[in-house]
Amino acid sequence: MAKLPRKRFLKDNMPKLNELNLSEALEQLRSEQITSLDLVQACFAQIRKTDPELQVFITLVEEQALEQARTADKLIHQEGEAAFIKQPLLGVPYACKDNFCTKGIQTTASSNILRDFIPPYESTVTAKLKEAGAILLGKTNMDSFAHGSSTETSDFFTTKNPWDTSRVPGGSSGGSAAAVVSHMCIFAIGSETGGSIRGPASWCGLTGLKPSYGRVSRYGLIAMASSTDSPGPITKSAADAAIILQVLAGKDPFDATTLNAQVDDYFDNIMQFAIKGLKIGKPKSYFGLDLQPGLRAVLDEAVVHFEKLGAEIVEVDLMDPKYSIAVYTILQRSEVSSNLARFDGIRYGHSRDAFNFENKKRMMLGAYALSSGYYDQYYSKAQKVRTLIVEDFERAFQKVDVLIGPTMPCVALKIGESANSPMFGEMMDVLTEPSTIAGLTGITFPCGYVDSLPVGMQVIGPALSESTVLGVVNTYQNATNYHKKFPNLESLT
Amino acid sequence: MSNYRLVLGLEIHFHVKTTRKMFCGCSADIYEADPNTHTCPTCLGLPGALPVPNLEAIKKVQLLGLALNCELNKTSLFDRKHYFYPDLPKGYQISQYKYPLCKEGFLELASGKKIEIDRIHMEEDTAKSFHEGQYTLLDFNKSGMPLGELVTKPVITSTDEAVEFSKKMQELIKLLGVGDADMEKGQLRLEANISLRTPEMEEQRRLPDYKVEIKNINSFKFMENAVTAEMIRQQELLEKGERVVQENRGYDEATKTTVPQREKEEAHDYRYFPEPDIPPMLFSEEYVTELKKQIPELPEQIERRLVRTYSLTSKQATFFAHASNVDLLHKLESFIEANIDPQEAAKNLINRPETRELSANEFSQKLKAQEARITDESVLTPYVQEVIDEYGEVVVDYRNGKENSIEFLVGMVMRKTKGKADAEVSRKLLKSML
Amino acid sequence: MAITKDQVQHIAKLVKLNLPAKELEKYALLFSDTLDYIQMLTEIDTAQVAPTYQVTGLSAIFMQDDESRNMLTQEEALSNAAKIVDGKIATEAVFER
Repeated sequence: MAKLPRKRFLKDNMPKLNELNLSEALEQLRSEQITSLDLVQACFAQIRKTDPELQVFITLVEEQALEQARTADKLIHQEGEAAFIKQPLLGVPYACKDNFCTKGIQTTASSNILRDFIPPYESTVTAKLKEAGAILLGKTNMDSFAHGSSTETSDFFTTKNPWDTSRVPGGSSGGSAAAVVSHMCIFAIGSETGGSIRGPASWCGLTGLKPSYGRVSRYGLIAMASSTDSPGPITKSAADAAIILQVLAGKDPFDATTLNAQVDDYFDNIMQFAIKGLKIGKPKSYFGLDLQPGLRAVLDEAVVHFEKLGAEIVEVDLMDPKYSIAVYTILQRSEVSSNLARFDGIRYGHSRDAFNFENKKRMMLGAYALSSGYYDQYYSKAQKVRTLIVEDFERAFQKVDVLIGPTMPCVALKIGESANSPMFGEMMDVLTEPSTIAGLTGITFPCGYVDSLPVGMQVIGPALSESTVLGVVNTYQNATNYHKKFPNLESLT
Repeated sequence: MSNYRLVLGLEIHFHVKTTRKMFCGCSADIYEADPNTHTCPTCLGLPGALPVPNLEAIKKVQLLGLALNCELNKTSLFDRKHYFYPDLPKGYQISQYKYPLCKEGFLELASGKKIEIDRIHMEEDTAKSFHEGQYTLLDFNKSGMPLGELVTKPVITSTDEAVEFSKKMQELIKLLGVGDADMEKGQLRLEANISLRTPEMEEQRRLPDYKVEIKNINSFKFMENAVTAEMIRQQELLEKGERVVQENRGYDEATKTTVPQREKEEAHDYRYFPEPDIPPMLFSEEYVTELKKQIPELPEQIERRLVRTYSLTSKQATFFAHASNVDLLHKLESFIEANIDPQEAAKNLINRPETRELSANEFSQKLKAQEARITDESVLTPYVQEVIDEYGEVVVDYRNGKENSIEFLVGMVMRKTKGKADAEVSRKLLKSML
Repeated sequence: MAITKDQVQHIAKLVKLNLPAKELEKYALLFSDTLDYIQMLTEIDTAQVAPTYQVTGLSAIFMQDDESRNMLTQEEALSNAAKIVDGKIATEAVFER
């Protein structure tokens, strides 16, 4: 199994600046209590200590990051607070999932097909972050081409869950989640097609936001399923996610599927958010699934907590999410078979023989579902059931403001547990697929533990209700401490 | 061709002339550019790149459709058409399948027969490929350029009709500014679907159960020859009682016959599905109305108008309706507006190029002078005789070889007739009488 | 739902994958399992339902500004190609289409 060479870092024993969350880091940078250089160096020190074991990063850009940190510090010193008005993330280090094209920096989608691929252009997401002053530390490991829910289908290595290194962090944005929860960076960027932000964020005890489809541009995001792919932040808190979403959201002339809607001041909105009287729907079919023992108790406790905070819990009927698995499997694999057709090894990349088992499996099922004689029975049928799923949610949102439920049916699995299942990824994401198919927004947050592993709960809202779902979680996080607990990494260093 | 009737459908592929490419902002001015200098992540098919459609290209195809009496689909979608080939960077072409921009139109031929058009759709072009020894070389400048494809119903029944239709289509594409339609530059390409049926089948409007496709037709002569050769081949087969195999064939100039194309592995399964990266296009009534206003008067319409309103002959009308004579058409109309007789105006503008520079007034004068002119020899002869008698020295000069002297005498005849004598006739008379 | 090795072979061709013969069986089984699972969609009546191709509800999105742009230099366009000849990207020769 090939490993990419690591850079040697300069300093050791830095103060634990890398353990700050985004809001804290910005506050301290603004007031010049800390420097961006110190912050970035603290992150690299942590990376040096823990990445050999956790295996999060495929590519690191240390020199570039340090340079940007120095520039940020100069700017902050010259302009003070004003610098942050123009660049709201100035000086803050982040990690990015390796399916976002970063100009001049290797981008692999964790696949041997794109080994050595250096994009000649920048994705809109990373361009916006750069413009906002955020500092890229490196590209994180994922399931190859995002085909999975555990990061085990990466062609390079398997990322470990920092809570328990015999377990997976979830996927496909596993590397990004592991990077944040092990304090290698202040926040990270992931992408979700079926559950790939919420899943790993949940298994790593983090706050992961999947924005509404079309809220954030996909230009430069290596496509998996074009009709559901959604870039989003994986962070230490809902407040952090709000700040990042502000930077990422908006119409992009390079992506015809981005929404025209104005971008809210999400941070402002969550500060003013009042949960009293909010109707939170509790879908019977979600809670009725076969959940891991112990999970239900944790979830129920969280629900009670929301009631205490002033929300009104209403039981709602939603379609059995198992149908979403079937719909998602067909749609995603069909679009995958199409989106992977451009990898012919001619203009870039290696030959199609370099696809792995999971990639090939999905491409073929997808081609079958689109093929002559089968299109109506599979692809077209799936798109019709999709309509019913969309309408199902619309009906629910006439009765309630948001929905709440478990994010995953269990806590983090052991490495290797998922092998040989024909549909592991799609089945694991049963609770997130309905909302990705419908293009809604969803956010996961930690609400307890089972077997010492984090349990994630999610809030789902109608498209463009990010302020609400962020507000709900922020309220919860103001009253609880689960999001402030992180794994003990002493054994790794 | 006695027993069988031709059933021919045409596909016309045309480059659409725009500032930018079909799905990206790259400049479409690629002619003679260095290879791979007009590309971007989208037309290069890089991972993560996305298409955004070019409305200028779409409007042009719709304009063509409206000029051909097509109905515009109020909702139109792009679809992905999948196949693998090195010049197709994404492994699929963004094209249109179920809901093309235009459908159900027609083009009227001179005979009055309407050639029905099934659909016109929009798609992107592939890269340019060159073969050099063991390599195929690719230039992606052409990748993503806008293409239109027009498909007729199988209603063409002669090679003449096919050629007339194609020529008219080429002119229309140029007239509307949709494209340059230069066949030599590959901006217009034809494909013919050919089969034969019995007169009974034709009467019953039944179509044959096969068709043979001839692709890459790049001139009208080629089409005539290829279709004729294929008709002969099919007739021979059918007369022998054999079936005609449905296939692609090419035309071989040397043998003047059609030949089977290299066997393709399998018929393509294009796995069409609606392009998820491009939302559906919706066109309102107002949009269509506005677009209709942009259509100039078309050649057949001009011809009909000139014949009907001004009683020009069909040949005269065709002359003025031709795109390259648009200035002369305006001249004609300005003359008619000045009350000049349309037929005189037409005749003169066509046959006497010197009249094309004249203003309406000047032309009027010239006509009057022409009408009043004395051309009758019997009337002129006495005047001519008078001049000969009066200007003896000049006559001597002329007889001695000074050719030009005759002009002086012609001038005198003119003076005597107060300018009414026809110069030509006078000159002729003088020469014969001297 | 049984999928044969031949069917797998055919589908692999559609997506231009070379599958070694010994793997066909494995894929065929997985295929069948997945298709069996998906069968559940037939339980849902969609006779009167229109497909959703676009969840955004967007329509008529076109290119915006009026300038032409060449986004990549020749060097950038060629930067990831394995083989280049005279500014053109080279690949093993293929037959005419």
